[in-house]
This record gives sequence, structure tokens and C-alpha cells, in this order.
Amino acid sequence: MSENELLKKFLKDAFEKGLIEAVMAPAATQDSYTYALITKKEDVDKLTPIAPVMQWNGADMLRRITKLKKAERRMLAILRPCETRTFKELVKFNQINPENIIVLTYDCPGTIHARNYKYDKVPVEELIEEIKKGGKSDKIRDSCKVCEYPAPIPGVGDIALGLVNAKEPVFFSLSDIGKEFLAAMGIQEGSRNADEWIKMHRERREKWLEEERITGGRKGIEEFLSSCLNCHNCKDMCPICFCKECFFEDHSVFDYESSKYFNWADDKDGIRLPTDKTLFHIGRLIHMGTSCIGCGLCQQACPMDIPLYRLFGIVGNDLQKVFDYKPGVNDDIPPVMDFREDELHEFEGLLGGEE
Amino acid sequence: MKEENFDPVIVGFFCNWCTSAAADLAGTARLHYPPNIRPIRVMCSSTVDPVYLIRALQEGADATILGGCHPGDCHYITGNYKARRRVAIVKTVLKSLGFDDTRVLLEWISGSEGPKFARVMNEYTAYIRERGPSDFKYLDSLGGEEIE
Amino acid sequence: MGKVLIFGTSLASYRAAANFARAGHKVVLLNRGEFLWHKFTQMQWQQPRDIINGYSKGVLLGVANMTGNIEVYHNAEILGAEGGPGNFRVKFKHRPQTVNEFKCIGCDICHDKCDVKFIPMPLGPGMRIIKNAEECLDVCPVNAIQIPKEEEKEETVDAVVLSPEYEPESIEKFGGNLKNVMSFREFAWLFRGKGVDKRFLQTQDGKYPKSLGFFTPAGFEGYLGSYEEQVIIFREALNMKEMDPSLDIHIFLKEIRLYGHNQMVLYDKAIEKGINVHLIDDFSIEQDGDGVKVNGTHLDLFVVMPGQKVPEEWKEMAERMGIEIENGFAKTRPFTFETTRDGIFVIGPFLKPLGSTEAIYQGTAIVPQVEKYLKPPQMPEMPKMEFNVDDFNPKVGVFLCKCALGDLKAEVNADYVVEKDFLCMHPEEIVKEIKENGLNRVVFGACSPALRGGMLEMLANKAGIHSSYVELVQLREYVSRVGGDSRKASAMLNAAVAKARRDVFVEVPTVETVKRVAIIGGDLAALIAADYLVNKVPVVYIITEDFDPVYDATGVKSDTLNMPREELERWYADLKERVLKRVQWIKGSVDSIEGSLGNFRISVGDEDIDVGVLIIATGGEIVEKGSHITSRLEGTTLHASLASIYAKRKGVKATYDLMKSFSLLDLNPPEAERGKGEPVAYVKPREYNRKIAELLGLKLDEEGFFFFAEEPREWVERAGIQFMLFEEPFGGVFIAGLAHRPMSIEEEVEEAGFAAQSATYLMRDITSPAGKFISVTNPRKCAGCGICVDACFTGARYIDEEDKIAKVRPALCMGCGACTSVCPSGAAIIRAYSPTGVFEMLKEVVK
Repeated sequence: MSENELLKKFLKDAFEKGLIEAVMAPAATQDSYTYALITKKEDVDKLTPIAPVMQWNGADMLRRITKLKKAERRMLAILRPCETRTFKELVKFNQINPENIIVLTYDCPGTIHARNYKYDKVPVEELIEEIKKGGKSDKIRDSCKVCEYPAPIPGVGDIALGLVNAKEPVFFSLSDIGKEFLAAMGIQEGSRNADEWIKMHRERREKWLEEERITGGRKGIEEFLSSCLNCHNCKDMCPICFCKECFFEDHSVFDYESSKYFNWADDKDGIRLPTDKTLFHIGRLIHMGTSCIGCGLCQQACPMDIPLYRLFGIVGNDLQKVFDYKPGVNDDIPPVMDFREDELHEFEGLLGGEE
Repeated sequence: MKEENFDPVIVGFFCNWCTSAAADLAGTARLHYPPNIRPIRVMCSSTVDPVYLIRALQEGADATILGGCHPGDCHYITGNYKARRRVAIVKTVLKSLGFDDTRVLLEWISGSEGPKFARVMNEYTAYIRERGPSDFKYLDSLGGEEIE
Repeated sequence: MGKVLIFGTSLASYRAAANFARAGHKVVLLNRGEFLWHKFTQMQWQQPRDIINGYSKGVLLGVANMTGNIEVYHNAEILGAEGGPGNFRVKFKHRPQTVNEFKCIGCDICHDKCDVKFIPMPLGPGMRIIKNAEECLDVCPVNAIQIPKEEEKEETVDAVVLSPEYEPESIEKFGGNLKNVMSFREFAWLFRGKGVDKRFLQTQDGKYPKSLGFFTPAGFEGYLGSYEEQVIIFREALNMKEMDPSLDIHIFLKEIRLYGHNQMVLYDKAIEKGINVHLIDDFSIEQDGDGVKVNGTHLDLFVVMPGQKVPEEWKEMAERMGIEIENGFAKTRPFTFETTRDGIFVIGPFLKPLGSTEAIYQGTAIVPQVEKYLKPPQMPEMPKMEFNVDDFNPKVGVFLCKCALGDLKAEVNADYVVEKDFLCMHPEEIVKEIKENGLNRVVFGACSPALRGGMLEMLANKAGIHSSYVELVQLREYVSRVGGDSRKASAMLNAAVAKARRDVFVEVPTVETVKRVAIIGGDLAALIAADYLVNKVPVVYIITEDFDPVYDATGVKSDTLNMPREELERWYADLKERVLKRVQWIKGSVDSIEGSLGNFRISVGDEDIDVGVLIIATGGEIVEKGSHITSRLEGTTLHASLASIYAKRKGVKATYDLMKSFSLLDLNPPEAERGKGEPVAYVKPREYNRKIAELLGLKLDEEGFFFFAEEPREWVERAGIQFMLFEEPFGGVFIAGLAHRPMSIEEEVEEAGFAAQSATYLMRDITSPAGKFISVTNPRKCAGCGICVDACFTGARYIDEEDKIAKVRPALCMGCGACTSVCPSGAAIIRAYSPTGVFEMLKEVVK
């Protein structure tokens, strides 16, 4: 039985046992996958619990469901590890009410870039086969290749499905709720060893952090963003950018009198006209960098194929290091919501510290 | 980077209760410092959105200073701790992208420290003068890029 | 309205003068120096680097301007008082300042033409003393120069408050005449104004010391002082260590007097950072090369923080005023500040050795005690003003002051620009020009808001321009006086014009409040506070199951320390009877509290009570023969004061560790040896505190006492916040008595008085203390993430359960703007500092 079939059976059993009243999971569309919500056992077959594409961040979908009121029915959501971390992070920001939601997550085989998938529909089983052997497909997105947490983390989400190095998939719990749930399902908790597999990702990540950094200040960022259309798609797809309206929609526009344009052009022998995109990207880093989960959807969303994850992932990583904060992996308060009296002295004064 | 006759502009956001009072005292005591400093009075160091700092740098400032009360002395109790976090974020982003993060300076200057205020302004202006015009100036803004 | 004469400008006096004036009484303040601050207060002696010093004066001047109720005489000496309460004829002599500090605008014209001694000071024009005042009266454009002719004067007042300044003891006994031994003040002076920096740390030979020692003689004979000296030297030692971790730092103490919340953290941190703390029984000091040897340890520089001195002149003053003294301090009646003569009160260092915090409490608590002799207060009526509101068609006028601009030439782009010699001397002209030119925004290029800036803003108001349309550019202190050039002046003015164009009208909201007070708990402090409040507030509730019996730790003044038990009980029974006749006692305990400052709803059983202000006085259990608290290093709160008073009253042999108390006791201490003797008593905080803290979102310390007026931070018993304003920082919740920390009844009187008096200020509809800097939420943009809620230190922001967006409680907002800088959506904004305005300003300011 394939992993997806196994999960579907799991869901049907859960419906039957009355443990859940709804499920949110991916479902296939013509060229991709989208999130679907079902409330009946019969509809389970319409789902693809593990999809080869992540077109949306599932936590973002849960945000829509619970933004105003908690989930009315007991619901199980199937989320990738990165989405599960997003879920946890968004709970901290009051964007998701976690009540009544059980999160099931799994060893992630990675996802294929939504555009690539449109033209080359790689079946998810192919991706899963790779990780069962402890490897990873090279068809997946860049951010998936350097994922820091490709496997479920205890305390983040409720139920996990282990796939790596496992002949048969194993269920195990991540929280007390998950433990009870599995017990009620009559499922024996199993284990699998994914340490090497995670290590492989982390090593890749370390190398990536070192090599792919955007350097060079002005020249570096200008060249990197030179093809940016300022479409703000990256922001729209970012699950951490939960604002209703982006600060930079309103405040990034530079208004000058026309004479100033011409005078500058005279002085400088021609000028490049401002596009507002740099402040937008840097501003977004300042606002959400500390909570960047690393899902890489910004990069997938870029119509110009700018490898944006190199910007947000690496700068985000630097920011998170400063505050010793890992978004979504534990209950720490996000840096923007907190402060300590005795910290960050290296940012005081010119040389750091009090004089 | 050093240029002849380079006259930097440094925008200072100074909190109303401490650093602005220190600037006041420096004025009362006629302690001179370079005219390159452009003070802006804000209620608290935590009023200053990191975007203001970035924006000042982009609009033509060679450096920015955020001045607040010493830790524990904030008129709003914890404003300066929050400001320190904001500055840490801005400086990290700048540094991470290869910009000069010393263009943002965070200083604690209390209201009785007029001489310290003048000293910091003198030292920082000299430092920025030495370092030359900011790489961030007019970045993607009018007056910035020449076409090649 | 009553009239009170206050003699001396101690910390407590600054506060008391402001409080009487604000409560609606006239104040005659006799300042002993040439100007306010000339004689140092306790804080200035002990922490000369702290800005909070300045606030004491700032608060006083602010209230003086606001109410017009304060009159100051300088170089004053009190000669005597005839008559009695309600009709004191107080004789005093005074000599006017050569430069009237309330009139002086700091133009410095006199500097060229007269023989001037100039003392720069924060918040104001700086102080000037003119030697040849008679010859240069005409020089001053505002007629601030006066002839310093001494004269005698008589004022008729209802009551007198004596509060002369603190003076430190000399350090001679502790090696003061040896080389490289200095008083703490001299040491702190090394860094004064310049900041903590290695460059300024020098021995008397101008060398950088490798080792540094601090000492305060608490516990040694003749020492008068409180815990504050120790707090300050620990803090300073930590500062030094932070500046240079390689410094070898030693602290010498006979005993540790760090009580109150979290002060022990200072000790722990000192140990952690490698500062050597020596507990010594004997003190020896000798010259050792260029440095000294203290109890065998060589030090390059040795700093002594002395205790308090009792000046001879206090004795003479007491005689002239007909009051009794004991041990050099004023004798008072039990549990009051009233001396042995009716209508004459004492607060501050003349009352007893105290810390700055207590001085500030006293400066507020004095008001209800004196008011029994005062006629009913009168509050000044605020005139109603009409404003031209137009957010869309800005017409900006720029008024430049030549006094501020000096020789600079400013190029300003605005609808109307005019330059005048002294703006502050042409108020009518300015009003007229604003009206005639149809201006609706004004930019003043003038001096500091601490000087005439505030006055100019009022002028604009008079001309119909709301404060949200007024911008002030401090041309003088920020440009012309500090070597600024015309380019800087123009850039700053044009930036202000650009911002003014974007300014929008900000209506400052006023919150309707419930004019009732609830006191939660049955501590003694509850009764004392209620006793003060029943006369001023229509309805006072006390919510408690029962009242605590009066306990056996009364105070450090001899008549309370030695008070017979029966007398104490009689006093308590009278108080209780008097209070219960007038308050509404609700038997029960609190089930829930909702709302905030101005509108709390408390549920007790089936009853719901609406009040505007809460006083928490839940008390504590007094446990005799207690064992845990009194030892030095257990727990973070040391209950020393209480325990040592117990020891004294009961004649028990106590340990040094018990003796961490106020020093009147030290004049006649019980036998005490280190580590010997018994712990006698301690206060156990009540479980009930947890519930109240949870309901109100207050913080408790490790043991379960409330934090109040001090956040749980290292700089403990933080005096700073109490300097800010009067009652606003506390969000309508005051803590008093044993719920706060263990204390004597004398201290309970101070805290309860502070709470009661502060509560009365809140018995009005509350205009947001933030003024035009009030924070608002743009509901269209707010995503309800709650980052602003965490950023707000007053609890003014909350997420509305219904709408899921952040909302503001205007009565609590102080306008710091922390919410705006954290809000990622730009939904939280201070409209007076909107990003649009700031961005426009930035464009101009960088030119």
C-alpha cells in the first residue's frame, strides 16, 4: 500500500471512530495541488495527503479558517514539517487558533517547483522512494534541498508519519493529544532512524549558507534584484507576511517634483529611475526575517526566477542567530515581541558594548 | 572610499527625555560639534521604526544615530530595550547583505550627559568622514544610479 | 484654597510643592540656594550622573506653570512662625536671584556686558549669577536681572512643611585625607556628563587605576543612612566592571543592606562578575605607595560613600520654629509627619534617614495629612479653545527667532516666513500675523521646549492652531549654539515645514471614569488610605473578609519604636472605627476584575462594583520566630527593617543580618554579632496576591510580594518612574503596605498616603496622557497579531475579542510609540509621527 493510500485509510478509520469531523489536506487540480477541506468519510478519496507540490502554505489556509473563530469542528490537518512550523509560529502571532486542530505531519520528501510540475508531472511516489532509501530526489526545490527540519519535531504538531529508512511507514506521536489519538486509533507507535538523513540536509544547508550568500552590499543587492518586477508576489505567498495590507504598499513610493528628476539626470548624465523594490525587500526582511520559516514559497512565487530564498533564508538565518531563535520549533517568544534587559550589547555604540 | 571634501550628513533620532535633553544641555553649555548632525526629536527611542533608519540612509544620509536613555532609565520603562532589538535587526540585515552596519549607531546618552553627547557626535562624525560616503545612499532612489 | 509654606528644596520638597499645587493649594517655597538645585538633594549627592535628578525640578516647574500656584523665594532663611494652624505668620528673609530663572530666556546677551558666572544645567536656560547686577539691569531684554537685596518678609499661611536638604557626612574617618581616597561624589564626578569611559577614570595622579575599592560605613558607629548607599555602590561597581572587566574591584561592607525587591540581584551579579565583596567587622586603612591598603587589600583608588550628616543649623531652625528634635532629627507624632507643634510638618532627610524612594512617597503622602488644616482646594478652570481644523490645505507659517538663529541665514520654503528679534516678546504680533495670513500650520524656529518652546505652542493655540499643527525647531540649542551652519538650520526648518504640511488634526480623547475607589484587602494600609480618601471621594469600598490585627513593628522614630502595645491598639481601634463609619465594607474576596483605569468592574460574590481606581492592600502574615527570611542570602527579598524593629522592641539579641535597617536604630543598637542571635520575625506574603496579580496582570516577586513602581529589574525600587508624573504610570492600580514588601507602620503611612493622594488625582475624566502622541489603530490594516500588545508597557493595547484587532485604551497610552515601530502592517500609528510625515521630513533633513 502506498503512503498516500495508508494515510487515506487512516483518515477513514478516524472518521469512523468519530475521532475527527473534518480533514484539511492537499487535493489534485489540473496542473497542481491545492488544499481541500472535507467533512465526510466518503470524500477522503478525493485527497492526496502527500502531494508532490506545495503551491500554498497549508498553515496559511488554517489561518483563513480560524482567524475569526476557533475551528468549529474537530479537524485534522495534514501539513508538511515546514507548514507545521509555520502553524506554530502563526499561533504565536494570534493568526491561528490551534484549538480543535490536530496536525499530522511526515518525513518530507520535498516538493517540486510548481511550474516545473505543471510541465513534468513527477509522481510523488518517486520522491518518497528516494527518502525511504535515506536520500532525496534532486528534482525538488532549492529550499527543500537545504531544509533544516525535514522531519517532524516533537512538540510541533501532534502525529507524525515516519518514512525515512523505514520498510513500512511508522506512526508516532509528537504531543499528548497525538498520543491519545493514536491510542484511540489502536495504532502502535513505531520508530525509525532519520538522524543521518537530517544530518545530510543540515550539511547541505551549511554549505549553502556559506556559498550562496548575497554579498557586496549595493552592487550585490542591485544585481540580485535587477530583474525584480516589484510584483510583491513573494510577499503574497509568504505565510509569515500575515498583514492585511503591506506597510510597503503604502510607504514605498517616492514622490518627487519633476524638476528634481530632470536635474538629477542632468547632473549624473542620465539616471536609473527609482523602482521602490529595494526598500520593499529590505523592509520585508526587517519585518519578517526573524520568523522566516524557510518554506521557500517566495522563490517559487517569483515570476522572474530570482532565487529569493537566498535572500530571505540566509539573512533570516543570520537574524535568528542573533536572537538565538528558531521559528516554529519551540514555544520561544518571537524576537519582535520580546526583549531582555541584558542582551545585544554588541549593537550598542560604535564598537559594541558600553563604550 | 575616502573622498576629498566629503561632508557627511548624519540623521539623529533622539529620544525626548534623555538624548534630546543632552543635546539641549550641550547647546546651553555651547559645546560645539560638527554641523553634520541633523537631530530629530522623537518621544522614545522605541518610536523609531527600523524603516525610518533605512529610509534616512536611502534618502541621502551617510549615517544615522539612535539615541536613547541608559538601560533602566527609560521614561517609558522598557522603550530602550525594544529599540535595541530594532537596531539589532537593522544592523544584522545590513551586515548580512554586505553593507556597512556601522552607519547605524545606537547610543545611550542621559539628559545630564551634554558633554558625552558632544563627544559622541564629534567622534562619530570623524569616523564617518574617514569612512567616506555611504554605499546605501540613494540606493534605488532618485539621485542614485547612473546608467552605464 | 489653602496656603502652605515649604522650607528647603529636598527631593521630598520638590514633590510636595508640586503635589500641593496640583491638589489646588497655594505654595510658598523657600529655596535656600541662589537657584533651585543650588543646594544638592540626596540624589544629587549620591547619584550625580542620573537624569532622574532633573525630573524632580522638571515636575515642579511643570506644575508651577500649569497651575500658577507656586511662588519661590531664593536665598531664603526661615526666621520663625507665630500663630497656629490656619493662621501662621511665618517670618523669613530672602535675597532675590540676580537672574530670575523663571524669566531668563538664555539669550546670553548679559554674558558680554556683565560679570556673569554661568552654570549650564539641563532643562532650562542654565543658571547665571551676576556680580554687578545693579549696573546692568537694562541689559536684559526680558528684565530678568534683579538687584540681590536681602529683605525680610512675612507670609500668612495655613501650615508649614520643613524639608531642608540632605548633607553627607565627611569621609575623614575613613581615610578621607589619604592620597587616592575620594568620596563617592568626587568619583561619580569623574564621569559626570561625559559618560562612563575608561578615559575618565583616573587617580589623583592622573593614572588609570588597576584596582578600585568601594566602601560605605553602614553598621559602623555614627552612621546615619538607609539602604540606598549600598544599592548605588553596587550599581557603580557593576558599571565599572562592565566598562573594564580587567579592573580589580572590591566592595567593603559591615553588613549587607539590600532589601526591597530584587536588590539582592545586585549582590549576586557582583559576585558573578568577579567583584570581591568583603564583609568586615573592623575597618583599617593606611597609605600604601600611591594607593591605600584597606583591611590588607591594596587599592589604587578607594571610594567612600558616606552616610548622612545632621547639620548644626537644623538645631537652630528647630528652636526658631518651636519644634522638638531627637537625635538631631525632628520629633514627630506617632505615624504622622506632624511635629510637636500643631500645623508644622517635616518630611525628607530632616525626618529620618531615608532612601530617595521614601522621600518621594512622603512628598505625596504629606498632602492629605496637612489638608486637615487647609481650606477646600480650588482647581483652575481651563479655558475652552476653538481650533481651525484643516488637514488638506496646509498653509505653513515659519516664525524665526533671531536670538536662536544668531548670524545664520536660513532659506525656508513656506507660505509665510518672518524673522523677529525675540519671538517670546511679541506674542500679540505672532497671533495677529497667524490670523491675518490665514495660516493653519506653524513652525517655530526658536529655543528648547524646556524654555519658551512650550509657551510658543500655547501662542499658536491662542491663534486657533491646534498643537497637532505646531512644529518646533530648536534652532538655538541644536544649531547656532553648537557650531551649526546655515545649511543645517535650513535643512531642519524645511524638514519641519515638510512635516507640518503632512500634519493631521489629532483629537486627544478623554475617557469618562467612575469616581469611586476600591481598596482590596484588610491591611493597615487599607485603613489608612481609606481614612484619607473618605473625605475626598464620594464612595470608597474596602473589599476584605476581615481586617488584620495591628502588628508589633511600628517604626524607627522613638515614640513609635517604644510605643506601649495598649497605645498602639487604641490608635488602631480608633482608626478602624473612624474608617468603618464612612466606607462601604464589602465582606468577601474578589472573584474577578475586568476593565482598566477609570472603569474597573470587580465581582465579589453576587455583587458587582464599578470603580475608577484600585488600591491593593492585601497585607501579609506576620510570622514570629520566623526563620527563613532574616538570613542574608536566602531569598531575594530581605525583610530587614521589620525584623530589626522587632528585635529592638523585644530586646532580643539579634544578628548583624537582622540589622539591615534604618539607622536611627544604630544610635542605640541591640547587642548584635555576626551570625549570632536569633531570627525573630518575617512577613509571609498572602496566596491571595497571586489571584489579584493574575486578574490584573501584575507581577509578583519570587516570594509573592507585588512589584510596584519598580519593574522586576535590577535597578530596584526604581525611583525614576516616580519622578515622571504623579499617578499616570500606575494604570489606576496602587499597591500599599505589606502586599508590597515588609515594612514598618511608619512606612505603611507613607505608601498608603501616596496611593490615596494619587487616587484622588484620578477622580476626574482622564484626558489621554499621551496628548497628541496618542496611539491609534487603523482597523483596515490591523491583522490582530498582538505584537503591539506585547510592546506596550502600560497595557494600553489589547486585542478586541470581537473584531480581532488591536485597540487602544486612551487613559493608559503614554505616547511612547513602541507599538508603532513594531507593527509590521503600519496599522498602529501615532498620527503626529506618521510614516508619511517622517518620510517627508527625512527628504528635507538630509539636504
